[in-house]
Amino acid sequence: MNMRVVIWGLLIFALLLIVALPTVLLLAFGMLPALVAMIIDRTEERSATFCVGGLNFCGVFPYLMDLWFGDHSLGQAIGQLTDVFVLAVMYGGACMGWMLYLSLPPVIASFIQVMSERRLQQLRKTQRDILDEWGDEVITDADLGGDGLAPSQPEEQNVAAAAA
Amino acid sequence: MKAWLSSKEAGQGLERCLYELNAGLACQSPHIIEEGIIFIEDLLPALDRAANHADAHTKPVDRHVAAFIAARFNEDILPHLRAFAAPKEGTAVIGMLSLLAFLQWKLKSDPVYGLTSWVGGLLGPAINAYHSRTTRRELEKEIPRLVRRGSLPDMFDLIDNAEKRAEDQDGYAEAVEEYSACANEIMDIEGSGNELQEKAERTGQRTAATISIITTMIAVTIMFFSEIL
Repeated sequence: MNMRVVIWGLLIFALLLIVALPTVLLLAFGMLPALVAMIIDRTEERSATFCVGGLNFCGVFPYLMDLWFGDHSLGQAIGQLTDVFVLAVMYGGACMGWMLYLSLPPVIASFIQVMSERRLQQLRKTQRDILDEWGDEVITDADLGGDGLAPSQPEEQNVAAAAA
Repeated sequence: MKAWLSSKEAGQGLERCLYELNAGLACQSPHIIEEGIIFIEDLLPALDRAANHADAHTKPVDRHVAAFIAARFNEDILPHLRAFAAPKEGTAVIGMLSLLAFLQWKLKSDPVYGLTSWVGGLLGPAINAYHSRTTRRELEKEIPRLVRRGSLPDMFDLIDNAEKRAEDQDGYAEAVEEYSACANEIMDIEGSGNELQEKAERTGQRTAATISIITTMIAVTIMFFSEIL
């Protein structure tokens, strides 16, 4: 990471600590599950981070607003962080995020599997219909890449010439 | 004469020499030998009558009939004879039909119901030259109607319709292509195995993240506005 970015980040963090310490405190403890998800999620897309972080923030946001629109003090923030119900809501959100992250892929996989099987059935039916209409020789010509069509044409042209 | 003798194709050979050298010789085909046909105009009616007692599996045009027509008919029938001599049965039958149809059309003969029925019974290989089963069924259904009209040119138009044949060829080519595409797609789906599973998992993870972000945005917006309003 660029040193300049780190320095700027630290500066902003220090400023936030001075200006909005209760908010920083609530976010730092409330968003811990998101931080953990970010650390253990090594994928390029960071799906787990977004999934857990998003719902975790959903749980934290109501208490952030209590701070912003109510008493924005360190005591209020500590009071919230020591309330089991508040922690349950915040971490429950993160838990929902994890559940969503872990349960949805198998569902999607099953759905894709069903779709693939349905597509296979459709393709096989199309092939059966083709064979019913055009005969089994289609299989041979399909394997030849269509070359099997060529030999019959000159004779047909002779007959067409005869007809003319 | 030497060219005729050296050729073994129908309408040539020794038979052709026979009819070319003997203008008064009757057609020696076993089907009509008893009728003593000398003039080309009498050939089709004679074959029409022969249809009543001839074996339905034999062709009305044999080497003698072909040579007789070639010698007595003053039109260019070489393409018809070439088609008739083709090794492929379907083409040979169409060649025979085209020859007889040409004869009926040029000579303006009366309808030949028996001969049309006889020829119609031999058209199996010509009909089978079409790939489409639907076309084959349609042709088979149409033949009895043409037999009742006794018109060989109409029957030839039905069987060897250039437009229909081109449509059949195009349709067949498309069918082969489609069959091949289906086979390739089936192989892709069946052969993907783990790759498909991984793709499904990645899609699921992305979907979960998207759902989570959208839910958060909606929830945060609702909570924010409900607080300030």
